[in-house]
Amino acid sequence: MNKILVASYLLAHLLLTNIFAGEGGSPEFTGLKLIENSADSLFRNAKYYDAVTEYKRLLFFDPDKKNHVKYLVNIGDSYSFGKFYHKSLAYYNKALDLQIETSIETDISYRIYAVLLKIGDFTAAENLIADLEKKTVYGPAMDSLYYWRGWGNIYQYKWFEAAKEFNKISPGHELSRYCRGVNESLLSVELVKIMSFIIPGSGQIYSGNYFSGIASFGWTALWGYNMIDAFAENRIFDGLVIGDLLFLRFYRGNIQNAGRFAEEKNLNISENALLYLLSNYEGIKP
Amino acid sequence: MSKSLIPFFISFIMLISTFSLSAQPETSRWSAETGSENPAKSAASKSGGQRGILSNIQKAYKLVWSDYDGDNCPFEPSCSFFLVEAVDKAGLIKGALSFSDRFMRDLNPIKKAGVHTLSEKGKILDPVNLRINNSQEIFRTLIESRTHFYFHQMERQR
Amino acid sequence: MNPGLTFIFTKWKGSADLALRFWMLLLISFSSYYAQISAEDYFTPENRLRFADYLFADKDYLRAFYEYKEVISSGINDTAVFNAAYSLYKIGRYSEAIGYYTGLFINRELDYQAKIEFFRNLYLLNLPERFLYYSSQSLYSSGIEPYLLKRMIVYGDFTERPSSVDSSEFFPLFEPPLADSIRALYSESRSLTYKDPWRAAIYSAILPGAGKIYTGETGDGLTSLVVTGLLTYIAIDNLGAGHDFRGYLFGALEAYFYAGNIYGSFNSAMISNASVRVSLKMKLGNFFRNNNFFLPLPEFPGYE
Repeated sequence: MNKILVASYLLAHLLLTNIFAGEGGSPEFTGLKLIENSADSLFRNAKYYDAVTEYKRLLFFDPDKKNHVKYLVNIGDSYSFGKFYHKSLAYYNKALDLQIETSIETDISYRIYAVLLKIGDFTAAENLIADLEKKTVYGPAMDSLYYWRGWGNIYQYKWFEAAKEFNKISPGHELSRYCRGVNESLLSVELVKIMSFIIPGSGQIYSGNYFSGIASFGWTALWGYNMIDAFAENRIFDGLVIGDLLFLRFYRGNIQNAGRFAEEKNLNISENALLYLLSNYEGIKP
Repeated sequence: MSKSLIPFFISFIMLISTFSLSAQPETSRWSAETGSENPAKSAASKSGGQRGILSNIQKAYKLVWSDYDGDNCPFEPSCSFFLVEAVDKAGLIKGALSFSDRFMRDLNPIKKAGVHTLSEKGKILDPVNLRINNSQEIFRTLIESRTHFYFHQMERQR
Repeated sequence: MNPGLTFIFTKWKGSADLALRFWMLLLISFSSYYAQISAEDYFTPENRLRFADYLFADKDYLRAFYEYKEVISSGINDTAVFNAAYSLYKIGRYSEAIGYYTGLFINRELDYQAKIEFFRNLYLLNLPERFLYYSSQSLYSSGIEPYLLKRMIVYGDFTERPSSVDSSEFFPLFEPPLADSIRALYSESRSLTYKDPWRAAIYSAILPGAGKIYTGETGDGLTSLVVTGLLTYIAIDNLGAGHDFRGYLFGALEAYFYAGNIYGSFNSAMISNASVRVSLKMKLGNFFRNNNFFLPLPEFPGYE
């Protein structure tokens, strides 16, 4: 009885070890897999510094080049989360240098695009997406092209163009509606300036700066009245001095202020809209 | 061997340039919240001091007058703020004298022609520390502004 | 054979349930198999050292430092200590680097280069008293050629006050390729043109704006001349026409700007001098840095 058991044990042992050994060590049970699991878990838990260390360890020890793409991309992502954007770009490019499928290559290209947007290098981003456009022909890929170009326009606060790009994906696209909404809430700087050109202070009031608008109107009215008064009483020198040094100065300042307030307000709207999208939008985002 | 102790001030400059030579080095363990930090930003920030009655006059002037008469001053800090700071740092007489000098420089129609360090808003940087006849302050300010300028350029290159 | 298996086959005889014995056997044999290929293999000191060297060569000095630190904690390895310190130096953590270098001073192969690096980091820490103190202590400076430290000190003095340096003491400290550049820098430092602030002030007192033109601010000088001239003209004109109040008002303004211009000319000369000195100082500093503080670099590959 004992002998049978021992024999069956030995058989089972040999069989199982042979199965594992036959595959050169199944990845499930090798040390590399364990390191990879710990790296992945660090990455998921947003411990990016340590995740980078472990992925670099894998890059060094893992002889299988097929796995390297994932490591490199995750290092790039980690650096991007840590705001080390230039390191991030370097690692994405290393991943691109490996022999990979087109779909993965496109995916990495969009990651590079997102980092370029965060750095604010819009020319490089635009060049990259133009290159991708040359290679892309079929539907879904074109959609993601429009999608990312839309995000590029959002980062540049070109809300109208962004809405147009998202509209190409589907007419009532969620982001398209949002961008159009933001675009409609922006003030026209030229209009505000013209308003203040016609009635001093009106542009400021239109853009919500009531006190400044009233003060500007008051000053221009005061010096304008004094100037006309001086000319009417034939005090030409006084009139010229008041007109040149005071009236024109405040009148010009009034138009400048109106434009500045409108620009500030637009910038504020755009910044808040972008922040809102980045924190609340559920889909893929840079 | 030299008799005096060496003021190793020079290495201060090098210390800074060490960091700027390689872009964004990792110098300590970071987390997603802190990420990379720019040493130039912390060096550039300054806090304002306590100022007296003149500061209030300047604030009132800004509130009722200079906010509405347009963007006229090509310098940073602006002339009125310069006066307040100069009087605060160097006393009434020196402050007033340096203000009159600043006023005349403002009147100079070709002031933009020279070689200047420009601020981020495109104004000519003309800090008070350069204008209160203290050679050490002038020296320190020049080094600071040049290193800051250098960082500014590095940022733009990125 | 696995000690667990030996125990089961030889010692554990008798009444125990056979099925239990069978499963125990399986469990133990697999646990041993599992242990042979666990992740621990990649964290042995040897593998950590290999990984650290890889990171070091990849210029990821921070991570390289932490790997070297792990290697050191499981047994002193001089190269690992040196590289850990060098990594700290590369990321600007000089005071920590110094601590590692001092550990290599006595009876070790790397002591010469460790001492060199020790002084390089000490210099970068900007603590002149400590630099002078350690350079006089034989524990720290023995084995280093004395001229290496001396020329760092003299060069530091040269960057601070170029005029105070004695060239007969200064030049012999440098060998031919460096010596030519040093001579050029030295003669440049001697031929700088400074503006005398008092002279600028007196020029402006004689003719408003002349001092500013002397210091190179021609536009500012001409403006001051026009402004003060105009104010003087208005003041005299008003006084002549009997407008006493206006006359005195513009006269006072003229005096104010006249004084301000003298003050400004003095200041302008000081700024001009300071900017000449700052340019020279930055040039000297860059030269020093580009030549690695005139200290030799480690001779083995990978260090820069």
